[in-house]
Amino acid sequence: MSDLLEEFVPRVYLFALRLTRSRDEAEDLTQETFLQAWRHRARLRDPRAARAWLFSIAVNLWRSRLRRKGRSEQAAELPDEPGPRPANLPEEDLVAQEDVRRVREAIDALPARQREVVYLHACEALPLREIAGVLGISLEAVRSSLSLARKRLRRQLKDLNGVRSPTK
Amino acid sequence: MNRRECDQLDDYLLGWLSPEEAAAFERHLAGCPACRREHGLQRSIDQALARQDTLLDPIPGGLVERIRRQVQAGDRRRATGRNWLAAIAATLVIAVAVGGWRVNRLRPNGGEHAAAPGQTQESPESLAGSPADPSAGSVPAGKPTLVSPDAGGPPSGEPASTPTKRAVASARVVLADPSQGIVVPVETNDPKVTMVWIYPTFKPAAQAGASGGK
Repeated sequence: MSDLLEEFVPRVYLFALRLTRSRDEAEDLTQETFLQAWRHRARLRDPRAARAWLFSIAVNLWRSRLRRKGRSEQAAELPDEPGPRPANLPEEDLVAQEDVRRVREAIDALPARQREVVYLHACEALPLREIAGVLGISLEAVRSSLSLARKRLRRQLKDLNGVRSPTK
Repeated sequence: MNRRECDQLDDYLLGWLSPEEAAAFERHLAGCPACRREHGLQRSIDQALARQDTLLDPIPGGLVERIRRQVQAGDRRRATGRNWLAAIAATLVIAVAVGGWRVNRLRPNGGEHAAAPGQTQESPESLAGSPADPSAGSVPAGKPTLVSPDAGGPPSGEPASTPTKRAVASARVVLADPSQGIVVPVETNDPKVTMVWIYPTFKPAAQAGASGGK
């Protein structure tokens, strides 16, 4: 179990952050996702599908939570303050960080479905079919959302400096 | 600039074009500065997307450990719940066994009668006759006869031919998981009534923590 938690908790948290756009809610949602996953672990037949399965639990929990609170996904608040700044970043990473922050803001401004599709595609590299399964939408809807989101991001980020390769 | 071909940029980058369509788009890309700009911009965005989490969103400290503890606590609560269910199930088994014996004993053809109000209830330990064996009911109703459980025969003064049987209620206690409970028989005045205490070996997580895991 420890290995699974080490591997998947960060991923589910980051996805939850894109769903909720709030660090506190993302943390809550991540905890709830793993508790539910553990209770229903017998339903996971193929361990290779664990990541998509966990994401789909997080999506369903988040939508239930929004329904209970009577909120729409668009109404979720953006965090006021920036996240904690990683210490001792190289100078070029600081430049990159500014670009990354702008991309992040543009993504957070996307409609919920586009934001989720872009995240799962670009950051988790999930196949489109799995994205459709996670979000409970058709493959066509995934393709359409992804195309629209990318065009929209390019419109909003026309003057992006360009991100350098990681310096690892 | 061919608007229709320019619209294929994402399909091209996402690998959704057939080899022929991709080759045609690459020819278009070579001669379309607007598409080349968009192409470069999209690559920059993709790189930023790939790095955004490590640069901006460190995982909250201790989150993995907190979730691990919650999952384990959830397991303990569920185990305790199962213990209590097993205890309740075992108690029901006993209750049914004893109750069945009682009902049978009070049947009119069971050879015995319940004590009338004000009348001393016979000690089951000393009852002669068996509810399962009405033919043994040679003892007049309402006049219980003392029988030594060890003697295996009628008390003095009774005809030697009167068969004497003891009806003993029995119950089988089965825990779903023997490691999760301790079954302790409790002595009763009535050998036909079996009582057991069932102690779950798990405590709820909150109590376990508070009591230092005793």
